[in-house]
Amino acid sequence: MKELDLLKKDWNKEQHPKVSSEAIYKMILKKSSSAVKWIFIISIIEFALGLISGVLYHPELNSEYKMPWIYGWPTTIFVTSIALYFIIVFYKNHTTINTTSSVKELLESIIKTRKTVKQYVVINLSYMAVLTACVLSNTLTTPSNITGEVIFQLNSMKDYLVLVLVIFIATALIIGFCMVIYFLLYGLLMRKLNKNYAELKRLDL
Amino acid sequence: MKKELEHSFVTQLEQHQNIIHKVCRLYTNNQDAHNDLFQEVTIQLWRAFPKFRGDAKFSTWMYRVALNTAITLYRKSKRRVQTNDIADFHFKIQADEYDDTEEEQLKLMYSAIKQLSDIEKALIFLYLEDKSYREIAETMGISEVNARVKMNRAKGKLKKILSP
Repeated sequence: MKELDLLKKDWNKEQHPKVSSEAIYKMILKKSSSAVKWIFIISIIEFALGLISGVLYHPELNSEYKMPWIYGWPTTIFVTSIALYFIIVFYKNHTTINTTSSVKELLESIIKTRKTVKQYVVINLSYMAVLTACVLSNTLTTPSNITGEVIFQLNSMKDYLVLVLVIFIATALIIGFCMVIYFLLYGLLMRKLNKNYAELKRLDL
Repeated sequence: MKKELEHSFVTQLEQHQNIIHKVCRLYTNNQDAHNDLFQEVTIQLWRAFPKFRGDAKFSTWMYRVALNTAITLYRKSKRRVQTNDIADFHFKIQADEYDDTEEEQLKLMYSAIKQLSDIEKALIFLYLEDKSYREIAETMGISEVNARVKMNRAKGKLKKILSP
């Protein structure tokens, strides 16, 4: 085929702009953007699961043990706004890392993302700890609407101490479980991000 | 260890980067898409690099990964800017005012190749790279006979596009 052979002759003559080794290094370190993307996606999934659990939540559970009003809409609004705030920040981090071209900016974005993830986990875990402790103490000490029984009778100082201990251990177990999940979800992504950070830093020096 | 691996990868890639550029030349239609695919291939190569044992030449291995990326991964990605319609349109105008100069013919060839399927593009690419049928078969993971048949079909299709 005449035209194809003509092209073959020309094929190797064509000049392409040379990509420097520094640019290649940067490309292979761009993996950071995928870690940040996953942090963003997971935070949205977490938020969605929260919404679904709210929908599936059975009102009878609430009617058996009457919860103070503070656990109703004020908590929902508080939790939702915090989750939305972090989703927006994670999204912003994701877009900045994607459009960043210089190593210095990429380093800054990684530091920022690390900070946000840390804040997110700390706030979420402390909120969960407070909520678990409050719900537990309420459930254990108020009479059930159905059976009228109180699970935990508080008659003496010792009873109070045991109650505090039970709540403490139960909260610790639940938070510990959540921490493991958070570690698996975010910790591993953060490790990838930290590794990239170390490599980038070396490159920048 | 990791550092050495990185250094060895970057040096070899820098040396053979023209292969990726040429793949991008056939699979993309503008500079942005070209740069995008270049980066995508580089990342795929880097991911696969620890498994590259040096049984094949680095460049041969690059052909395989670069073409695989262009054919499979990149096609799925939405980042690709589809400008095929414009290219077709351009081609039709050019076909009407056919000019026999070399440059015109090359332009026509590029537009015609862009209309081939991704697999056919890969075959034509390897032909332009002056690879033997054995090497083409090895790179594409098909038999030598199959490579010949497919190549003839791709060439036939090109001919048809150029002189409908």
